[in-house]
Amino acid sequence: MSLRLETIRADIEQAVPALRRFARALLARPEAHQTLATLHVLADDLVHETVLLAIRSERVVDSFRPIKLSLYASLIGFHAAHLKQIGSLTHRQGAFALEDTSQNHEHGLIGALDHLALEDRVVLLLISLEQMSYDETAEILHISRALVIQRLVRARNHLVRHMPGQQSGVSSHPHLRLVK
Amino acid sequence: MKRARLTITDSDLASYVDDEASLVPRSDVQAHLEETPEDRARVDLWLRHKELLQLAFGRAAHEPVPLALSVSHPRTVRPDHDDDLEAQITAVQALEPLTQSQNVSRSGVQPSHRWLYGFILGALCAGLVLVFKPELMQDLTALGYRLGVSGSEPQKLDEINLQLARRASEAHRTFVAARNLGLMGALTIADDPSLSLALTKLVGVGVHVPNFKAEGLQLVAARVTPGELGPAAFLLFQSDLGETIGLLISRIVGAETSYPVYRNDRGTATLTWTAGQGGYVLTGQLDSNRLLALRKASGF
Repeated sequence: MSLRLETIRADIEQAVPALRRFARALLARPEAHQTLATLHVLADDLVHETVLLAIRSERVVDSFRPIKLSLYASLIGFHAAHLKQIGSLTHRQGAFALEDTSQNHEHGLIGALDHLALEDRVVLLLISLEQMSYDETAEILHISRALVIQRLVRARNHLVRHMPGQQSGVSSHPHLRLVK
Repeated sequence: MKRARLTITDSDLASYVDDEASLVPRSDVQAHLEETPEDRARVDLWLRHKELLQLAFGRAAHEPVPLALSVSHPRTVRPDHDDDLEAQITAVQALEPLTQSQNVSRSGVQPSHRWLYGFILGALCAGLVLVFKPELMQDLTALGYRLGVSGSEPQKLDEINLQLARRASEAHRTFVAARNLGLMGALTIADDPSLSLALTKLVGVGVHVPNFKAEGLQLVAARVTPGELGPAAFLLFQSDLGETIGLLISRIVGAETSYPVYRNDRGTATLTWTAGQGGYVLTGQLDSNRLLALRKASGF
């Protein structure tokens, strides 16, 4: 195996733990719809697909883009394609009552994520969970930095609105403020 | 001198939270937040949500990576977090005593290694003959092949069939559960030829969506699943009565055509066969006759 290929494989291997984390956050649904075991299986399934494609794809080898960013792009692509295949671009499947979630903030968070549009959820997770920069996120998604920020703000305001018990005294509507 | 008035937007607040470069200096954003409790509270919540995301999912990055996701072993089995998996596999193995007993030869040599010994023996013989009797080279190479590869081929096929059956049965359980949980919605492009094309490309062997309408079944979900034999397509069909049938299609390099084998793994029946470059498994809670009829209708 060439040194270049060895380096690529090492990079892929190094990215796998973070990809698993991202996949779980991307697929997570409230417990009423999904058990933890199912989530872990489906998430690893998605990561495995991504890793296999990366190993086999010459595009990744020839790409000037860092491998890590290509892997995230592939994983998101697989997930979006699957959602499109089943005829929905959001995770929502029927009504979900936030009042029914427990007071546990983790559950509330997953419930609120479930109501996010995929494009907003992806941006939020890449930046807030995966600690990607705005520029890296823009590169992964092939969108402008301005659009990344727009989606991020929309996602964050959505969480503020939908996380149980956290809205008091906070307006999630965009504001323009003046400082002297 | 009075400072110019700056507009603080949500974008500036986001850049502040993520420590990203912004046109507005951080000190100005901080000053704004001190003067505007409502935005201060919102920014605090944004930061809190970042922490919560880390708390909820961060630990996944510190868990040991399953062997299947190791790049050094890209063809190993897909990980399964179901504690019941071992029991499931044992149950399937128990159904195949003959296959399992064949896995160790009388000499104690693992069959999967026998081709190697055959190859070495063949190469040694070929080396000697090349020196002394070059005309016998062709015959001895064939002999080495027979000692090694041919001897293990039938067992290899059994192993492949068993692996396919396990994988299909596992996929059936997972995807039926996923569909029941609302994770797999209705498929809207069941008749779209691009589905067959995409699956063929991903799996590496011809995949078409069988027409089971005469059997009262229609395609409701399609997925590509990983596995030790490479990616496989899994098609899920459902009848109006709620009967679910799965069809797993995988590329099997060098497999011979085999007769269909029926197994029943804790209520999930499988019918496995290979043909050409493909391995096929029908799954469902059905008897062998029904599965054989579906196999005929599948066209594989």
